[in-house]
Amino acid sequence: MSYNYTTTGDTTWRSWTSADNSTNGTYNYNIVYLSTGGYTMSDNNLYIGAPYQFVGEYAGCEIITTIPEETEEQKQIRLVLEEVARETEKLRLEKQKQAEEKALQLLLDNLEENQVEIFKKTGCFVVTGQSGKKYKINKGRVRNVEELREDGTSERRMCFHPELFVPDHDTMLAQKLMLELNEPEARRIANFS
Amino acid sequence: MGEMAIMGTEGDVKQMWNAENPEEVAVAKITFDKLTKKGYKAFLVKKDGEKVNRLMSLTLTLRRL
Repeated sequence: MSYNYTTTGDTTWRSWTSADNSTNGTYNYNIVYLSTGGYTMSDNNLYIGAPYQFVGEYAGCEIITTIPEETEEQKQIRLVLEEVARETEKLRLEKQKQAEEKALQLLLDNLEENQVEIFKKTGCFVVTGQSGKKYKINKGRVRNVEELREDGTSERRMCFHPELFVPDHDTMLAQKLMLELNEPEARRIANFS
Repeated sequence: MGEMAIMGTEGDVKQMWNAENPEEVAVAKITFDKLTKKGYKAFLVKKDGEKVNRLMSLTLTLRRL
């Protein structure tokens, strides 16, 4: 069996009809000849233990690059970078948790007693606008406000929220304040659906 | 003590001032004016959650909706 392939720098252009990597790290592929730059090799010296990475496709053919073996120095740098990434993510999650806790507390501080009770049970609460109309504010940021009919059922959803990506409970408080204290503007800027 | 809760992506930041202290009041006013100029909306509320009104000058602020 013979193989054809062509290389440009570190990139090998190839395609195959079958693949087998079961022979002690020897990768045997049926490679289709791609360009005049290609040549033929026997399977004895092809891909033995060579790590290849699939990087894309061109003209129906797969493009692979040879992955150079990682040196000890590169490995140490990679491990440090991975550690930094883990720590950064940990900090981000801690900050997010703190922000969510602060927002929940601010919301609870600003809810009336009956709203707190309902919120603790259901995660949402009902506010009354200046017009007397009632709105249900659910947890969330987008389309989380329901305009209610007189019988308490949902008539349609409203979408309006702070420009900043504040925590959800801050968004809920912002929506509550707008509906209770500036309902006409809330209705003017909201999308209804 | 006056207190302003300014909403942001990391939760609210509180700014407090002593109403008897003109310097602290002036600093609070500067913050308030800067934020409302940026489009923040301000609402005056009492500690127990009772609404008072929408503020054109000073207190609890929201980013422009």
